[in-house]
Amino acid sequence: MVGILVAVLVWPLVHLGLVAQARVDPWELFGWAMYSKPAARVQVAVEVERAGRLVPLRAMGEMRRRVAEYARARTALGLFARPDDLLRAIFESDPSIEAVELVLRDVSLDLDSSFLVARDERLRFERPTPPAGS
Amino acid sequence: MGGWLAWTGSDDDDVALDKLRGVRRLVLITLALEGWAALRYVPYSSSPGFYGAIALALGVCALLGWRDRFAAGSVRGALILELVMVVCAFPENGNHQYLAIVWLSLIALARFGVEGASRRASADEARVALQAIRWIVVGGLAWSGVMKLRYGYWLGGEFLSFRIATDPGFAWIFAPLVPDAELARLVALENRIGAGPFRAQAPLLVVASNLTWLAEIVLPAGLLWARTRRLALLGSLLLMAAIQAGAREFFFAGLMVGGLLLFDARDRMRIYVPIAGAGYLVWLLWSDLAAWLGGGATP
Repeated sequence: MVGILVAVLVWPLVHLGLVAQARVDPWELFGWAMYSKPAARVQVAVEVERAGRLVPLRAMGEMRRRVAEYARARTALGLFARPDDLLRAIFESDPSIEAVELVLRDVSLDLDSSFLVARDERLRFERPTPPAGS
Repeated sequence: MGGWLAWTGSDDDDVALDKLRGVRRLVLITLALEGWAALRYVPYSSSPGFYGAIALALGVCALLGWRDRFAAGSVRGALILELVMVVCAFPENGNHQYLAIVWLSLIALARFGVEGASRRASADEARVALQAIRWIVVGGLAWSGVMKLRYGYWLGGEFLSFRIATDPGFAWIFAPLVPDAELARLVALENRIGAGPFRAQAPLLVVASNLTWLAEIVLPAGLLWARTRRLALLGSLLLMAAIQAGAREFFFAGLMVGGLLLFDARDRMRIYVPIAGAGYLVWLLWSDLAAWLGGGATP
């Protein structure tokens, strides 16, 4: 019992590190930091490259659900959220897609100005090369 | 080890067994009803059959776990079911689910034999489990205050201003502390990029904001000292009520209030558990009740 207790009491120290280093949402993962700051919000837009041209992907149905799922995971887990499932679905949906760019917009309350601000980040993923001989 | 564990208090055999029975029932009821409530939200709503079956099984655990005879199996069953639920829905879990898992684990490690030769051993284990649960309450409250201090959004009242602007419930609660013009300014702010400033301009709101994190650090320290425990308990319950008036995290609050009541020398769980259960049910059915009452009033 003491082991469980000590782990629970020490966990928030680890949680502080996860928030600082991996951008985990302070509200998540039992760090006792709910309501310590406005909840994180990451919006995800997808752009795809065909024949060297980057255009927005109009995600519908199942694809839209996967984008929303990744946005929620990215909001909660920060850098620990992996877009692998989303990327696989996008590349499988259209063989002409050469690359995918995920545009992540992190909306937060800036403490210095006390205004809501956005920080954009672009992640680029090339179509995986099929294994030789396939 | 036993020394510092007992800083949160130590119970007689009968009281320890009664309190552990009470907290066991509270956690099982909380998980059963939370399982149903969760079905309204993503991702639980996307697999209603799976999560509904888990909620049903948690309900069976809560019913069987009411009796000491079936307590051990019910607690372990509920623990496994809740772990499955958390893993399947990860990372979209409520923090009360983690809290319940930790408490259930502590309860599961205590024996439930309350008769005959095992009674003494059961009471000893119940006492340690209760001390650990009380420490988690102390640590949780204190960490909540430290986190508010660490992230800085409570020092200038930014967090409360933001919530007043975006949550009508917060606006209603804090209206008495904020001048009309400032309240109107905050409520008019939209939850969009470029909106602001959210820095509090009402002195009373800044005071309330700073008193919150200060109380979250000071009150748990008071719970550790026998001479201040009753006062700190009363203060902590009032603080919890004040926070919940705005936050409305009912399952988390239900567990935390139960944990706080364990600091009372007497067994308060006997009264609290039915009240909490009824409160959960009313909240769960609130929208249906409101619709029904509204429908009844309409000619």
